[in-house]
Amino acid sequence: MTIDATALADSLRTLVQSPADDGTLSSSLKLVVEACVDLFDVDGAGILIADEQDVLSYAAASAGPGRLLERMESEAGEGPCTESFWQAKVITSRDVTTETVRWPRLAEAMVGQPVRAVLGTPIQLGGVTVGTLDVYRERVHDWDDSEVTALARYSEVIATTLAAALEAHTAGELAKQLQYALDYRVVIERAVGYLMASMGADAVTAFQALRSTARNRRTKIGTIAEHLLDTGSLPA
Amino acid sequence: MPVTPPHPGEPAQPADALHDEIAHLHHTGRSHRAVGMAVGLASVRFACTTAQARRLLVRVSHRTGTDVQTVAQVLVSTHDGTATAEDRRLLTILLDHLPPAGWPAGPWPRDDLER
Repeated sequence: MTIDATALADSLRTLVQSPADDGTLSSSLKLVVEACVDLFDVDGAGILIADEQDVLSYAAASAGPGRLLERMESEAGEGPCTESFWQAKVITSRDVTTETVRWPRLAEAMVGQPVRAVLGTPIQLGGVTVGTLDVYRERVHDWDDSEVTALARYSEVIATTLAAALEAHTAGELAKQLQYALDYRVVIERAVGYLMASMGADAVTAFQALRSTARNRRTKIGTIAEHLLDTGSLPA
Repeated sequence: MPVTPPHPGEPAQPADALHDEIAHLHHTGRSHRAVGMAVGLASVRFACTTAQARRLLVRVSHRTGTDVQTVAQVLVSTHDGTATAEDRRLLTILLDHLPPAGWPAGPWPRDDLER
């Protein structure tokens, strides 16, 4: 992949000076994803931020079917972004519609949609993963190392935007999500480890058990994690 | 890929340096996560408190000359069934310094939990 340094500088300048930026975090993120599409020659991009159930939810997306991809990922609880969020590393797929073993629900949902190759990269604040940046192409594509590296680097731009918004108190509702992720990450991870050992399960299964308990009880996942660590069991 | 300046006006950095920096950031993120999970795992495995589990990781780290993050990653990946050959090699060293209960290894059967 070729990235023009001048184009990158122009895009970043636009992010700073754009009249479309009304100073809110959502408008800033919208500009960031649109710049991402221009810079990396992808067909769409989006940002997902973990909510208080630790489920990735929509924060921003470029125009097109990317929103559908994000919505399906959020609903199915699986896919390259979810995996990237959970494993804190870049996850790629050359064609999500053929990922019937890794992400069966997502693969089925995306058949018929103009979304094939997807790359998810974690967005980290202070070493804590708070969300993901996803990009997609409408055709099958093998992501190369330079693309992985460049997009991982770009996710830092987003992290900087989020951090600045938090500092400037312009993050609005998203601030609560971000703060929750930062505050509860450690206790959630510890609870996942606890469940892995007590259930004899891998991290994904343990995390799903924690999350489904929170969902069924309409409780925040951090509260369930604290209960588990305090009492040794999930709430009945 | 041509090298890109991270901010307008900044000089471009060598591609290798960027690559290293990104790898470091990702490693840091994964390490944070692994330490939390390893503490949870150890507290169940060895029937101890969170504080005792954390101290165990630190003690194993000191005794084996391995940083805590690496100890945690090896324990998590072994349990998770995603251990690499290097992880398995390190585990044989760590096992000498863990309580006698040993350390279980995945993979585990996946339950199709309700989402």
